[in-house]
Amino acid sequence: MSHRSRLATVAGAAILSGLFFVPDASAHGIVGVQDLPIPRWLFGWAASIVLVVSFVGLAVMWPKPKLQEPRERRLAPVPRILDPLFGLFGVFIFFVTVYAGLAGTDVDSANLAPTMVYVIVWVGAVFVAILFGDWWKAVSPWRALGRFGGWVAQRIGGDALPAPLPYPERLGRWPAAIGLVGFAWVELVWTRHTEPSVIAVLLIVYAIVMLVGMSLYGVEAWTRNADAFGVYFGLFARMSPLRWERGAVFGRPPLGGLPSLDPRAGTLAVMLVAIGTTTFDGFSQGPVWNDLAPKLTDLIADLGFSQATALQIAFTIGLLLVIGVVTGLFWLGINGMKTVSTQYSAHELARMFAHTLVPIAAAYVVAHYFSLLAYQGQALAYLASNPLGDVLAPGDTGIFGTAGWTIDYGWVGANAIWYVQVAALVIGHVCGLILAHDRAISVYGNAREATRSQYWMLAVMVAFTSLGLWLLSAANA
Amino acid sequence: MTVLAHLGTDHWWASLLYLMPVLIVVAGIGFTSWRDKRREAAEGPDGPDDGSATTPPDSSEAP
Repeated sequence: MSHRSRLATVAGAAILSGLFFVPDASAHGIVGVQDLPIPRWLFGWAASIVLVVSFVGLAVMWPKPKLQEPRERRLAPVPRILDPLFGLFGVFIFFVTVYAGLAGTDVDSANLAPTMVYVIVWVGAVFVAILFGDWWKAVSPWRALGRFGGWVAQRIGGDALPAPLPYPERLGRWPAAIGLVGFAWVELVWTRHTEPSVIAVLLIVYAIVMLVGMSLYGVEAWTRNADAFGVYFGLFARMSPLRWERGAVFGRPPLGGLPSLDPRAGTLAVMLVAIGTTTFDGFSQGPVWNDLAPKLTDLIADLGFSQATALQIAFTIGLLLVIGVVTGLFWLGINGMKTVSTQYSAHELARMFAHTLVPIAAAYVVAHYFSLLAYQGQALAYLASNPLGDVLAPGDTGIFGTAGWTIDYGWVGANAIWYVQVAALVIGHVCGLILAHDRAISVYGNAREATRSQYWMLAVMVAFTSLGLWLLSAANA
Repeated sequence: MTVLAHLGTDHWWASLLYLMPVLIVVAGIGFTSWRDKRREAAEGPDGPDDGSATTPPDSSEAP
């Protein structure tokens, strides 16, 4: 069987599968909760067809690697004063958030801290990083404080200051991966996660850990490897067409920063945790988990735990299991690749293709949290004017005059959100296919072998896309 | 087909429909892999060298 006919078989099977039931289904005009013209599962089929067609298109029209060494060009100079200014801004926001958490109201929707951490930073920063590059590096409060501390120490100590310890290579990005699991656990499992004072204390503890780490191993080495937020946003920033360096901004092709990602220890874990935790967030809102969780909780409560503790243990088990399932899916794709050539071990292949998970993680974040950002993100307008959530006197509109603003739930409809979610998943996975194909050509030397090696990776991408749409559909049902 | 079209999104069967594309793609890939291996085995060590590293190193599987 020739290479092209093999491709045609795969493509044909998928396209036929998509077309088989479409006429009847669309003719009946099934109307979902979101008033969609076709059932939501049909979007899953259509997305799969797009992936298969993209795969075939890449095999035919992308014979040489194009992204392994992308060209960069200097776009504009950036005044160096901006670096400390952005850092100062980040430190200011950090202290305002901590102060609001400690001194403000306990009502989480009226306090700045929960929205700032869970919506503006955790979700919003990903969107900004994908579009504009690594902005978190500039505003990271602990990095700014660390650099300021280093500058002061240099002034006082001069050459007598001891050099930072070498960062342990074996640790790699594992501290960041563990930090991400910790953050996800707080957000998705811990029952006190929205209490403003708890958030403030956690922020202080995290900042202290970061400052201690930076003082031992140096600011850059620590933030590049061990700062969960820095590593997480930094990976998404590699998708951006912009790269910021001290003194200049450079332009590059979109996704161009990913092939040069150094796949040191823990990098793959960061991406798998990112996808796994987002997946669990969606899964935990669906009917399957809502049926399962009470049973699991009762089972754990029977062992002598309180109902609240049992519920948290059940959610912890669910979170870890879903991360495990996502990891298993990726390893299936990697082991499938290994059947084509035994030249590389599965471990080597996993490291070589780790960067292809970044756009998938981005797709999951955009798809799952777009509505949160679109709606709850608006709360920043009134929270900025009244960060503590004080009861204001009649006519008092707060610091910026926007304390009376409310969230407009009508500015983007349910259908529009669904289309954004579907588009994000499809585009993210097509980007993953492009990166994997480009790397495979570079690794295997020719388009034919590269395409063969990616058959199972295609199956993994289709699985991730279908899983993502199923989760969204279940959560919306 | 009509039954499937009427499933909408409320029935639990609709969840299984999300799995269908995955199964079809996996089946397609599995079938082509099986065919490739069968063909390579039939061609034996003297068959056309396609550069694949998965070509068996000895002739034990050749007819």
